[in-house]
Amino acid sequence: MPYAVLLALLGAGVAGAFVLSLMTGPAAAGFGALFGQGEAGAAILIMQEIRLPRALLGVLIGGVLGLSGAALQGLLRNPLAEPGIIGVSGAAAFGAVVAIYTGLSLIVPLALPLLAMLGALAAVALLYGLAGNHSTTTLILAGVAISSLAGALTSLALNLSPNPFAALEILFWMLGSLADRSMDHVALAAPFMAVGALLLLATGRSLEALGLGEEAALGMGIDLKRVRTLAVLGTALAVGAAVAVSGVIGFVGLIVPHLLRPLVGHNPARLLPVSFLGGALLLTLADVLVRIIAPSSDLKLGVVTALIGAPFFIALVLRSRRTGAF
Amino acid sequence: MLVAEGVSVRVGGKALVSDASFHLKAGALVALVGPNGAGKSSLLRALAGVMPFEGNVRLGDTDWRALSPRERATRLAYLPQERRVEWSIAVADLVALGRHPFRRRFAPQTEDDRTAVAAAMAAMDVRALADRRATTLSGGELARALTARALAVQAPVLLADEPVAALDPYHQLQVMGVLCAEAARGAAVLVVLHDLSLAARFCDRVLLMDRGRIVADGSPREALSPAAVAATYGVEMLTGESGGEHWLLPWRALDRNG
Repeated sequence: MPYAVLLALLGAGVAGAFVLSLMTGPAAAGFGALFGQGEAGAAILIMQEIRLPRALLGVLIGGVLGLSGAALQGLLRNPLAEPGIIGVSGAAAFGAVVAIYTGLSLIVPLALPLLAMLGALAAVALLYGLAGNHSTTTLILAGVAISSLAGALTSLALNLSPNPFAALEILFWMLGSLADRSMDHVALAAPFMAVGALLLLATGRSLEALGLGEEAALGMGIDLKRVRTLAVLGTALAVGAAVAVSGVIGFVGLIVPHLLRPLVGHNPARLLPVSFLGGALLLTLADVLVRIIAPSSDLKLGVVTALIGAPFFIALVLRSRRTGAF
Repeated sequence: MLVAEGVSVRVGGKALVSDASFHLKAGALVALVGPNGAGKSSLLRALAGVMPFEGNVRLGDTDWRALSPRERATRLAYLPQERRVEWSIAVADLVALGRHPFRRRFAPQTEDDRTAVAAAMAAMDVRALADRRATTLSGGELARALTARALAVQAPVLLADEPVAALDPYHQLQVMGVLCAEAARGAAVLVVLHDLSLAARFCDRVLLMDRGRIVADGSPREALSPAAVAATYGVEMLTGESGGEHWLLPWRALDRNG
């Protein structure tokens, strides 16, 4: 399939899923309500204040998860790489847990996403302190160490939580969801996600050269330090902001690049933009599914992406076993 | 085309290359030979910008350090010893990566790019593999595809680290022929070889390295004299003339303690 056609198809898919997301929900609200036309006040309110931020976050968060997964897989040349591998997701989640645990999020609602982003940035600072400009393997090891530390601290908070309700809130938040987010959340996270996405997209050319190994890439004039910085900082900003408003949503960053790689001739540069669109499409559709299959019970988006993702991944493993190609 | 003066490479206090000085002329095919661990690959890595070095290098009339890495990559093509391909890209796309340093972001291939890639694929006998996934190639096929990638740069200087290792005799001779043709086109070619027979047969000049130093620099006959080879490799050689050409053959390991 020509690359432009693939981009157009995915773009159209994202637009369709976005509209579908706007139209999905318990209350009756027509599309016109989005623009404040021809509907009752309540419908306009639902459309503009509840569904629009949810649909926007679905596209943006799905997009940056797919994009950062593709960039990290290209940088680390490891098909198992995903945004969580450099410790950013775990650290952002821990920041949010601190906000819930201390009760700060009850007093100041935006304290939760702000502390989560602080956690993500702290993770990057720690990552650079540990791995600096050393090898890619050191980077992965440092990321795993930070992830484990953040996971341990989160468990500690759960363990010591003052009452079962706080523990349950922490647990539910960590499952990942886009329900009941406001335009404040969009305004807070979108700029970080946009800057992060631009940094990640700028790695494309270098990722192509890295496909022949680090030594060949250096010989082709690639600045390895610059690529690493772009990919790590871009992921921290974009995924840190994503986790801050949605909680941890797994599998999108891992699976989307895998699904799309054969469609772009396994070219790691071309994979980046399509992975953004693919992630946006997948997450928005999953978020629609969450509302359709269980409108009354609060089914978490992160649970659904993992449930969809795992069997898909098993199918990919079986395929790669047969063809020998990732 | 390339002039190196006092090039030294150190890693963690250990000198891998010490004070290497030599020049590569346009149109010359030069072999870099020496026992394992002599510093051949380190010298190539330094010149390619993969490892830091001390000393001075000039590329044409420009100081090596005055060039940006990307400009340097257009003037100096480097074929690493490590044959690695991470993704299942098509062989044609792999060879096209040779044009990477010339291409702007998102820009399509130019006519020059296409011509260079086609010529490199023809020279390396990989046109039939164009649509094959690089991860499904045999070791020899991958080696040829990666060599084609380096040829596609069409750089004035080509540094090739063991391009014929793991190739069958036909393709060894074919690759050496292609390197000769590169030199004939006006490139300065430095090739690391372990096969002294090939070095003597095809190269205009031989640099012999031992323990980080260049210990001989001259015609194959001079640099690979039986005495020099015995001293550096610990190997006795057979030599002869055939059809007016000088040949040599490593024959027997000498007792190093004796």
